[in-house]
Amino acid sequence: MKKIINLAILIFVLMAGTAMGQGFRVSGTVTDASDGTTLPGVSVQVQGTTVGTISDFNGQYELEVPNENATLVYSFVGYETLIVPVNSRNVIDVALETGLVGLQEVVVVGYGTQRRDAITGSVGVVGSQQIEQVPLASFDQILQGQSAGVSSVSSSGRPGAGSAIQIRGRGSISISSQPLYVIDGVPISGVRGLYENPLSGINPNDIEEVTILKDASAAAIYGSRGANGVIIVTTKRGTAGERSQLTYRGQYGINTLTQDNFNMMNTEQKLQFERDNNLYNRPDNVWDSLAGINTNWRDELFRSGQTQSHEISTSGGNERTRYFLSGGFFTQDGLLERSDFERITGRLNLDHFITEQLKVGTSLNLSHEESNYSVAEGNYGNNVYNPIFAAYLTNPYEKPRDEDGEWITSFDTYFGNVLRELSLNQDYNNTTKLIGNVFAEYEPIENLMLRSSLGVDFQDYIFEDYLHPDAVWGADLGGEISRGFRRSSLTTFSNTARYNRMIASVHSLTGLVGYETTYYDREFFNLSGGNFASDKVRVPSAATDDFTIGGSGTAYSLLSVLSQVNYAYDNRYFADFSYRRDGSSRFGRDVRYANFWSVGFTWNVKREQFLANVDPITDLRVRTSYGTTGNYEIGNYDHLGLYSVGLQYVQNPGSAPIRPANPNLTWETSEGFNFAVETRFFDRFDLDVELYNRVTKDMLLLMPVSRTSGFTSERRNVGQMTNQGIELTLNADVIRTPGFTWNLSTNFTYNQNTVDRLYLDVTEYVSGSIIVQEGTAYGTFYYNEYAGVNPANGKPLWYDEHGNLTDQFRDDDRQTLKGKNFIAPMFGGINSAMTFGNFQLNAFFSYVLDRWMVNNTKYFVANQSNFGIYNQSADVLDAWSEPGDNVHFPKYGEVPGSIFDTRFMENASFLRLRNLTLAYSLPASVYETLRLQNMRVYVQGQNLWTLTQYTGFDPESDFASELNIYPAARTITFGVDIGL
Amino acid sequence: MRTIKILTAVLTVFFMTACGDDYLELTPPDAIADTEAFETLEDFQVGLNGIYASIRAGGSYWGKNMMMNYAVSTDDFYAVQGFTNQWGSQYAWTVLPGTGEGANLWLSAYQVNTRASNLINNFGNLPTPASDEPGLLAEQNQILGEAKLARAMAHFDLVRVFAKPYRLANPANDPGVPIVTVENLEEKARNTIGEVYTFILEEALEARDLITMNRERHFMGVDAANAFLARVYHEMGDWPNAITYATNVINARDLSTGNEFLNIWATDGGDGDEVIFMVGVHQSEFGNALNLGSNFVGGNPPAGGNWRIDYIPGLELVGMYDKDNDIRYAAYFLDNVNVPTIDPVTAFVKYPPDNPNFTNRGMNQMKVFRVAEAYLIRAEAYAESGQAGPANDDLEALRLARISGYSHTDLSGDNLLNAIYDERRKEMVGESSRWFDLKRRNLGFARTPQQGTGPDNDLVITNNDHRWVWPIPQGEMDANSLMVQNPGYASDN
Repeated sequence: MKKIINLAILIFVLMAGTAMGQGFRVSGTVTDASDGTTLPGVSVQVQGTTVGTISDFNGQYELEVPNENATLVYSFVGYETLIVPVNSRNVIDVALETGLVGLQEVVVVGYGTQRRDAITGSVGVVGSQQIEQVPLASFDQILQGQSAGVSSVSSSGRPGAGSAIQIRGRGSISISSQPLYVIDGVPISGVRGLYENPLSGINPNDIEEVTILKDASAAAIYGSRGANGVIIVTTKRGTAGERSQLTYRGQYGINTLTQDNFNMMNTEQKLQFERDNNLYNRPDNVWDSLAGINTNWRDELFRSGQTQSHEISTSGGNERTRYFLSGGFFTQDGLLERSDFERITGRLNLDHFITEQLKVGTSLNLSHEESNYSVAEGNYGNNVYNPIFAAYLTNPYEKPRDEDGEWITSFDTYFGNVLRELSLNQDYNNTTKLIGNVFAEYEPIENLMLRSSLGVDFQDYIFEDYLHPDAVWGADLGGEISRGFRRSSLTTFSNTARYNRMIASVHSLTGLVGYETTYYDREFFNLSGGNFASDKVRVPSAATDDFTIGGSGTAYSLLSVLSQVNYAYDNRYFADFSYRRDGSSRFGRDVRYANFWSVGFTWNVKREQFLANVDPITDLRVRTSYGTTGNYEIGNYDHLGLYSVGLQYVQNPGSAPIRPANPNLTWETSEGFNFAVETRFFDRFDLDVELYNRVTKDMLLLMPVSRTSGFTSERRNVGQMTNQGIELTLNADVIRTPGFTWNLSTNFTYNQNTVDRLYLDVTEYVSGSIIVQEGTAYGTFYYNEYAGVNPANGKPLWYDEHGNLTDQFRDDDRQTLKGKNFIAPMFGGINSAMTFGNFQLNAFFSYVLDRWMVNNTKYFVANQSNFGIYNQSADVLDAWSEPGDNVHFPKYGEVPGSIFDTRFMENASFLRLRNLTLAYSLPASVYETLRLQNMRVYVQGQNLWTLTQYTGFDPESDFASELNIYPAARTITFGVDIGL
Repeated sequence: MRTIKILTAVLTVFFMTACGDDYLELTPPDAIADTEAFETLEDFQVGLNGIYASIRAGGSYWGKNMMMNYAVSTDDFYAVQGFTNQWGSQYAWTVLPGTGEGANLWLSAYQVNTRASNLINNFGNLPTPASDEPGLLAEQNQILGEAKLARAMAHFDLVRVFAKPYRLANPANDPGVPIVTVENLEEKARNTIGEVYTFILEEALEARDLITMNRERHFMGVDAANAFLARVYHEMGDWPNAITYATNVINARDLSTGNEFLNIWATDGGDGDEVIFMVGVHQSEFGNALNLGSNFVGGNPPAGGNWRIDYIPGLELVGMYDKDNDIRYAAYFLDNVNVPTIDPVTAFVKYPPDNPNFTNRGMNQMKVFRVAEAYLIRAEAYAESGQAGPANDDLEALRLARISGYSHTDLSGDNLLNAIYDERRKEMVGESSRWFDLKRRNLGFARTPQQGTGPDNDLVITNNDHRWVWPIPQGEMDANSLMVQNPGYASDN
């Protein structure tokens, strides 16, 4: 019934327009008032409508307006907006004054747009120039260091991998701290994982702008899902203009391994080490033959690969219809053998006025991705078959192929030949994604806009894993195939009404009310079978044995009403109020609704009389806000008492409890306060300072319960956590001459996290390598402190709980290592942009400070007592051997197994040159000769340089411990943009 | 005016889409409400299978854990140089409150208790069968009895791992484990050892009366109930009752001999005779979670004929068998196995690499109760009760079944008891017996370094070492303020 009503409304909205009236034509030229040059790209709009166009390359525009008495609004970034009544003129030439940079822009915010200077919340904007042409598949990775308060850490260098984004600190202990993504008004599913990244289906080049809503005032309109901030992505749309634009962009490059701080033993060293410690029992001739082999396994397992990207886009339109159409192809080889990513994308953004009052449109993105993973990433993630692991641990006297070039199957150590395994086995998947909406906007009376939008984030995923019968991994099974599919969709139907009114020409009032339904549905099915007659047929039908089968589904729904009031007085005082009420299927009937609200104020001090003539201060604004947001990223059925019936016992069906009912489980809320000062001096330097305090209450914590219940934990609303921080953004036009400009911008964030309260009378608990403790930042390590080697006997020493030396490793001697945290308290970015003539040189650095991480790989490769049969770091050769040796590594055999201490904890801070681009725009004389609109060529380097003390492949991770991280690639690309 | 009417209409429809609360009432497609889990007889059968599945629980309880934890914790096995360090804490006796296997064992055993309790507490939902339906009544009682037996067994295994041995403790005061008869999230204090044993016996005796059938050996029937009671009384040193229930088992079943005995291990065979209950697993279930023997025969396929073994049997153990005549040597050991790092070894193949029912090396179905154990229990109980004659008879019967050409010479006193203990060690190796026997008998052990073995091959453990009582898992300590840690393991709280 609900669906029918929804459909009815849509049809009604679509049909309710009235016929378009007879138009009146206006044309003219827009120039810069300071020098008289023509200005292309200026928006010319009929006031109070969405009818408009932009000026062409010669600054000229032409527009059909409703009648002779219409009023035109000319706006352009960097210039004061000009409002001109038509007054029956057919030709209107205007000159725009240079304005306050950035302040007149319109920014996309929740459920609409807002003038940048009217915003009371904390909103970061990343423009297309930062996102375009970066050779990464998933745009979230590109956001690293781009905006203060936004930490984006890619957890894998695998092509197509996403990134973990945290806005203003980690908001909760055991549920997601990821922000909500909204693409063209369509909320994106929060499900992320190694095999699931909805964002990788978006071509970053299609993105016009990314808006990051950081505080409650900006995000409260998203209520239940706004606690960790909101990232709004707006893609490019067509503008009305004389000529349609056609653009080709291409890019080609090479990916290589970045850095490697492990110094592994070579054959000579390793064999000597084995002889010294009696590790292997071999005849002399075997020792001798091994000495003749020296394989660098990192060179064998890692490779260089290609990145390619090709894209054609076209945009244009007239007063009634505008379009943006693009098609892209992106392919990237991973650094590991058999790891790659390929993507085809297509986008259509369409706006059409059926009548003056009724507009319909769509934003539609279709993508198809195909990936291969190095097999070990999936099925064998953290065991010795992981190729990254094998790159370290395989002994250098082993070789992948024999003298005749045939594969060697297995090695003396506990390995199969990983290279051979990779060549035989397969871990393939493909995903088809549709993200988009259809919408209608209807303006029944002046200033009232009704909007109805049906949006979907749809994914269809298929995987196929194959273990070859000849492979060591598949031999037991006679080969095995696993195949499965997953289909998910997040459907959002939202209806809003917006009304603006100007009262007595100084009071501006906008009101928004809306209603929204959200439904997520996911189903999956998979099967596996083994024992193939032939390796030539690789389909499940050819399997004859060992069948397993699985399949189920899950769903959640959300029901919301939302409202907002924006008030401005004389463009001097601004106030925003938001309110949203959400009901979620994830909570019990009595507690499933919650209210979220916010208030925000901005004072544009510069517009006060007393500052009007203070020229050094170009701009000064003060903002503050307070509000609440929510988080409910828990399982879909966590409040229900459930019994599973999916168990099997010797093929008989069995049942078991999943969890007891928890009818009181409800929303986690976050209360945020924000205070900011935005300044601009000498029309040249911008300094923004923001202070925030964000308190998470009723945390949806997995609270440990007595295991005598048969359960380990139950999700409850307990505990409180605070994130306090400061964000600085500095932007300077260092040099601004006609031939040479240099802009330097930097941002810095300091975030202090504190666990305020846990549960019951528990004030701390240990969670793996970290301790969660009241009064301490979440993520603080909890380890025994290693104290070196006893020079007398070579035994390892630790500090006990009283700070005394001991050679006994005891759990009780673990220390809270305050300040040693796996979540970085400080991070940011530095961007330098220079233009000299037709050349542009951009350098972008990102940095993370005071972050610590366990180098779990080191546990295996610098731990000769326990893992000496595998290859080890050459550092361990400097182990204790005789009394008096004052060294780091204990005597062989003296380190107990399975213990972690501060030996493996490293400073994972880094400064990384993320991107360096040198571009050259061909002069008009050249591209016009070639009959092109414009042409730009560039060379670009990604991850060219990293400064870090971390000794693993890559310090960039958001985990407490790093084992076999897929390192980020260094990519150098050449590219060309051509306007046809 | 018309505009306003249209507008009103539009807005009305616009916001009338308000769905009812039922839009937010979603339930999972693959689970049922716990309040509806026990309604029909089929529900109870399915619930009972769920209890057995938790006994198996991913190798955690009577899967691999109950066997491996304690097999590698004595001088029966030695870690080879450069072993993978799996079960390394147990081998080195560095088990701490945070050790995963202890936590898994604790949790899985309590899952058996809560699942069984849910079934037992809902049993009133079943209508009482009419008097002319004796078959239905028996079927219902069998389900209830098996659930109670499972609950008794889980409590027994918990108390003998996490508490002092019954005979050495003061049962009225020393802490046992919490008795759980209902599924809830409340904190629970430890009951005394005496209370726990009283509960175990009540449950098991009731179960024995309710159970009337022996189903196939993946389920616990009459004989399993008797075998379990014999084991409990044996642990308690209640020799008359141990004799009574061991006799019930021995009278009901024969020892397997010859190929039948070999097949118990080689192919999980021997149905109907020696194997009373084994934890069931089908190839399609659990993958390699139950590859019991993988650390003895190498979990991965051999490279160049080399088995990748972690643990090899101690030379002392291997030397106890009459290699040529004892069928157990052929069943349990394989000489001259090549391994990568050291000279060829004698490998422990009780859970062989090539069980035809499974593809993974070392995969086998754990035997929880065998008739042989009943003979050993009864022999020991007779000997302890001063009845040397029947004790010798039982020892002879078992040896005759195992050793070809065996002729028995009657023993007496300590010689008799020691012979029974040795026979127990030889018969039950790798079924976790020796650790429990040493603990029960207040003994220590010492490893003697042997060729190719690594650290801790000289471990010496005395009888009064606090580590004979395993630590309460840290996860339990953290979540249960009523829980008291065992001595020697300082707690964080």
